[in-house]
Amino acid sequence: MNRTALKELANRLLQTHRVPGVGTGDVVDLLIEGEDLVFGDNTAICVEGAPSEELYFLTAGRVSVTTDDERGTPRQLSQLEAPAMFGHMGLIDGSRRTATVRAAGEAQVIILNRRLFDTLIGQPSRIGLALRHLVLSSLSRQLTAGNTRIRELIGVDDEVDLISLPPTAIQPLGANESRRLYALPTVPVTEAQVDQITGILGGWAVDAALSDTILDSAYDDDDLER
Amino acid sequence: MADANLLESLYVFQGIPVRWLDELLRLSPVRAWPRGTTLFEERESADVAVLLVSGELFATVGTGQWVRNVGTVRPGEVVGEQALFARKGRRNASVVASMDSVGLLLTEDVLVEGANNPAIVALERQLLGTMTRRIRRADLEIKRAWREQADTTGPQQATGFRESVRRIFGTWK
Repeated sequence: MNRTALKELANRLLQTHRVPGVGTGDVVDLLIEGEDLVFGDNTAICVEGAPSEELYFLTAGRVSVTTDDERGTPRQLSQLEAPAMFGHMGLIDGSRRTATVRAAGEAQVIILNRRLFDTLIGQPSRIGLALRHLVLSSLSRQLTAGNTRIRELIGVDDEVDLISLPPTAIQPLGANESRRLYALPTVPVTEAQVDQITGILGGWAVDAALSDTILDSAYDDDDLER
Repeated sequence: MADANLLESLYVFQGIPVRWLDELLRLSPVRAWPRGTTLFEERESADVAVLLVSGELFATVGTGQWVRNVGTVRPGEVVGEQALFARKGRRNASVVASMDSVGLLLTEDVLVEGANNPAIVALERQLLGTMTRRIRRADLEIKRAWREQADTTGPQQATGFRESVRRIFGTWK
């Protein structure tokens, strides 16, 4: 990928990630360190259970993210569209892949392998800063979005004055009950809802979950020479 | 410098030369919070995190008789880091000094101006690990709560699962 295309990708990443102190040129310089690859439709990019050896930037196209249930049946957690970043958590904590990612149509990625990731993540350089802050921003989004979905699932909303509940069984609201007690929703919880939270927490569905939170980030419109 | 000695004792800064700790302290001087001081209020806007150097902090939700302790912060740990990397929002818990405590305020400016400081790099790498572990744990708890309700159906399943999740996670903003 040339620098012009990378600059556009970098700008889009900075629009959806709060990344203090990082400019477009820094992200471009980071992406240039990686390896460009193209995956054909339905090709596995990473496989559940495999060692985590790469961080991926999805630069074009779409990928499908699935996980196997206890019977070995694949369940879809998410679909990611470019630009997106995934695979970072396994490089941080050494865990094996928690999902299988396949190209949905042709997908282009930039890959940072483990050796490069380990080198850059601890570097006191602008590229190191860009990588650390991009990943920290993604993790923050995963936590925030995951918390939001969990709140929705358990029926907590800001209008209810129950910041904390005593650890007792929830009581149904009655006419004379304080607003500090409330009834949990009784609509059945589906496995898909649980999968959605798993997908968000795992970083597989962050972009879809936060598509309405594009930031007015003040990224630098850097000179291409940088 | 006595303050740099305090930082040196923290695991996160092991092996970091003192001059870089001094530089960190120049960017963010040590702050002291007597026992009972509220550092963050639930629902207030969030733009700063805290690295606890000594003492102990409690994260709580609720007020009055509804206050619940949802976490303890110990020396070497950071609290409020989502204020630095997530969309500007509001605190999801109050943070109070449970004993006389000392720490550093971490702002965007500190991270940016100290970008070349190995002490700040070390801090950020620790944050990467801490946040990843928190996400993994949350995911495991959700799945466990789901499995526990796997044999139930209908409203009982819904209420049981939600109650399990509520007990695990408390409430958020």
